[in-house]
Amino acid sequence: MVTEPSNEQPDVRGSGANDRAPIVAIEDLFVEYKVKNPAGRGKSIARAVDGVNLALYPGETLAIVGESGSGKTSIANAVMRLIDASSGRIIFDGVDLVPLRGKELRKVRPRLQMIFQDPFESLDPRMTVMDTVVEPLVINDIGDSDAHRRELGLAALQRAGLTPADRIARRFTHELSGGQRQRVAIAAAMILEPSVVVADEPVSMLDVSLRAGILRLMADMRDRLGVAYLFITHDLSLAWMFADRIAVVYLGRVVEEGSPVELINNPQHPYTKALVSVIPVPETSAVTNRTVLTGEIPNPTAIPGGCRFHPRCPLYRERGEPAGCRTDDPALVQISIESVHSAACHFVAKVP
Amino acid sequence: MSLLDVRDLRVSYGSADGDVHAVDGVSLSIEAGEFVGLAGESGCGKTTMAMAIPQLLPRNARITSGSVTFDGVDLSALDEHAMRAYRWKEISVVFQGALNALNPVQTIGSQIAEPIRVHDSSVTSAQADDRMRELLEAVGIPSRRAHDFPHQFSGGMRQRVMIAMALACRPRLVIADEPITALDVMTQAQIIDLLQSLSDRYNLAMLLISHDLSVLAQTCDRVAVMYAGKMAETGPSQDVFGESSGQVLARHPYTQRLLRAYPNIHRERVFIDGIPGSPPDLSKPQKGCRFQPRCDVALTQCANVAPELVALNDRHFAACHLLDADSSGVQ
Repeated sequence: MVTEPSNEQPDVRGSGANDRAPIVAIEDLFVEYKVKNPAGRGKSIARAVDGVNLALYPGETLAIVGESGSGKTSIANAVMRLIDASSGRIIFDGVDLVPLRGKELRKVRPRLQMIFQDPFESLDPRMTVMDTVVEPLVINDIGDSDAHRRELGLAALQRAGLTPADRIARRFTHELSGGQRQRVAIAAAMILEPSVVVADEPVSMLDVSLRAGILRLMADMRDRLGVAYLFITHDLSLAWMFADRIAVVYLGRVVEEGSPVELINNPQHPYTKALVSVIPVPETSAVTNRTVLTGEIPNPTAIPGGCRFHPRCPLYRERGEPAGCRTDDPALVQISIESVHSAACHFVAKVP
Repeated sequence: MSLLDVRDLRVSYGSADGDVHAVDGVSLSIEAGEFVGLAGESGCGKTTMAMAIPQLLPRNARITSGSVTFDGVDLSALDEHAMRAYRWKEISVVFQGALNALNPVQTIGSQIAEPIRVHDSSVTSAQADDRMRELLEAVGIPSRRAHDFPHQFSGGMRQRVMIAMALACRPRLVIADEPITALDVMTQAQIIDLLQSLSDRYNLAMLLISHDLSVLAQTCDRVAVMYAGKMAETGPSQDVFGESSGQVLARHPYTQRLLRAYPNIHRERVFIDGIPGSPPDLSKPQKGCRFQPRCDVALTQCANVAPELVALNDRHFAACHLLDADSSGVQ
């Protein structure tokens, strides 16, 4: 069933992490929200992001994978400064974004762009494709004239696979299909040649036959422009295919991080193990021992003490409910010498 | 005799641009207790075809030909009054977008108990209450939560409520339209397990509609793949998703390409394939195979002659001209 990759296909793996300095370093990030109590009285603190450290290297794709309520979108929004971090640092190209406001932030924005999940909502239906694509140029006062910006816009559309570009440029975004709209969104995000693009579930609203085209386009942009992606998804198998590195988040914390192959073939955290076991695959012969967790991610206003995963953890029960899991919060520790692989579980053997 | 037998069904929607033939000659049968998957991309007609079974189509849709036979009775010939004897009692539906389908100001308990009393006036409210609690427990919700409102439940729990409602009148067939689409992977696994255990426990036949082939592969006894209003391929899951000596058993090029559109973590890590182009505009007359413009193995006749379903074995069928020649022996 699996075909040999053809020669024309772009290198999907990117350049990966190396000893260069990260383009984005997330350090000890916390994001808290005040939420009204359901009973109607008082407020509680929801800790959506609870001490996250992540590094994204130039030209690399880092996938942040988690279920809804895991905090993955809060991490993305904090990096984009769409929401405020409660504490911590987000170092982008040497500058901490967290304290930046207004004009200083606008100076950074051209190099830090975002692709949203829903191309039906993220584009203004009353704008033409051309206006949509050149808008970032206008906002940032780039280009000598309207004619010059138009030229850049047509080139961006062409790069995004929207041809004939001059005809598509005149259409309104509401006239386009979902796949075409997402290409317009990518063209607009890429026109300033950013160094980092945060892509929040960029294909999950699209029909499956269109997903490969959009992801190939993103891979192609990565190879051509050297852009790094922070790829937010609930789909671990998609992250496995597309990313250079995967961080699995649970209730505001990174619980495991590693290369895609390592994480899927050799998951160490019981949560990752369960997630991997329930990934649907399009064949019947793949009989797997599924570990279907009971219950749901707890409310971030009431994060369980000790290991936050222990109330749902199969290993905790298997081991006779050791007290340590209820009292001690496990740190994310390096568990492999050969590769980048770390996990936050009391039962993984850390590298001495 | 099958529990459900849909024969050569055609459904059209009236629109300003002319009639859209959303379902164009589709047949599908389901046996008692069988778990059948119906797959296809958005706009392929899968929901229209499924909603035609209990006659729950929108007003601008009409069945132009074909029959829907349930337990020997042609439902398409029944009037609204007679149809009510079947809806919920024999055939029930778990609607798409269930997360918004519940009444926000009514407790979940009373929403589940309502169909029980509406459809059987001899049931006392105490009996309906007992049945409601039994259903809640059956779908994995503690019955003490009967007095809670929908907003107090998560998406996965609300989907369980919807399933409990569908089971209220002990139907023999449940149509579940994208019941897991908006849910997380772990919650999806929970709901799939629940549907399977309920199907086994009550000998329920299930028509599970999903755009996600990979979910159907490990869930369904049999699967049907639709494309642009037509049945492209149908067969037992092991025939459609399986392989033999390295060759996929799926025979329609559309099914084959769809299967390559999903990452498969049990295989080599390769980039997924897409299917360039888009489905045809069904308000225009169709000539030839509807997949032909996107098909990379099309023959000359594919542009002119619509392929018929060809039997690959007694249960596996595909509609593709590539099969015409080499299938003569099988038929």
